[in-house]
Amino acid sequence: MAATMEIHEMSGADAGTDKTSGTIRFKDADDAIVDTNNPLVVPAADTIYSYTKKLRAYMEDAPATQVSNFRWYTDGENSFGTGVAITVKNIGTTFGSQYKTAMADGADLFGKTSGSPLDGDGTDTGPFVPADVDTYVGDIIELQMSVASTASHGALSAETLTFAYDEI
Amino acid sequence: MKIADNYIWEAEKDGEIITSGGDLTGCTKFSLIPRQLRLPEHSISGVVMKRRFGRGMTKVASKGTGAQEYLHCVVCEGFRIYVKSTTGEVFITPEDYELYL
Repeated sequence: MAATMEIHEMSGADAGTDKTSGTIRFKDADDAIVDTNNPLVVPAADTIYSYTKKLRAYMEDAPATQVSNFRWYTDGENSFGTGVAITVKNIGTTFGSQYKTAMADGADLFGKTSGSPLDGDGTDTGPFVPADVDTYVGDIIELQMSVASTASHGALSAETLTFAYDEI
Repeated sequence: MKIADNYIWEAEKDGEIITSGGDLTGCTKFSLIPRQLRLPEHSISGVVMKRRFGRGMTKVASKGTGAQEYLHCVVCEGFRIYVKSTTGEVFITPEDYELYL
């Protein structure tokens, strides 16, 4: 049987919500709930930031031998429009509090493509084996949305983030 | 059934059938056998095979594409073959090409 790898939105070092095929909502609140409460409001000037989001892979079903080579990427096209951006970085395996000040040293999420992905197992290095089943594996990635005064008002359509892994 | 399990694989080596692991050194035939009637079978022979692996891709907030995809890959001398587990579609690439969907 093949492995089942899930994407979890983390609320603690070893606690998260399965968001595989689901939605991560950037908002002005520290929760994983997908609703219209606490929206990000376009500022009159400057830029505002969402609370950060942290994602990590979870091994739901074990592989026959191992999984490795974790990668995170997008299609490279930011369809959110002018003034809206997402930054991302790999923070290793240490979960820190979520925050809504500007992320330091983050990179443009849409610069992470299949040809130039974000490495997902540089700290918690694989390969991950059947004994790792039902645990979080690989590194935590942290994301944050920024909204500048130049952004348009209104709801945004979703963008896709892909997590890839190799399996034997 | 998981997308990855739409196919099972087997390889022939020294007259034996192997169905686990990643090393295909010395194998003379590799087959991907569908477990869904709508999918085609694929067999490779007459080439030098090196290794195999699967590549899973899982998405959040999928737009337009499937939420999950899985590729079966066979690395041969001079080229790779990727087979899309959802459709049986084949992609032949250079030996070192990393295909992500």
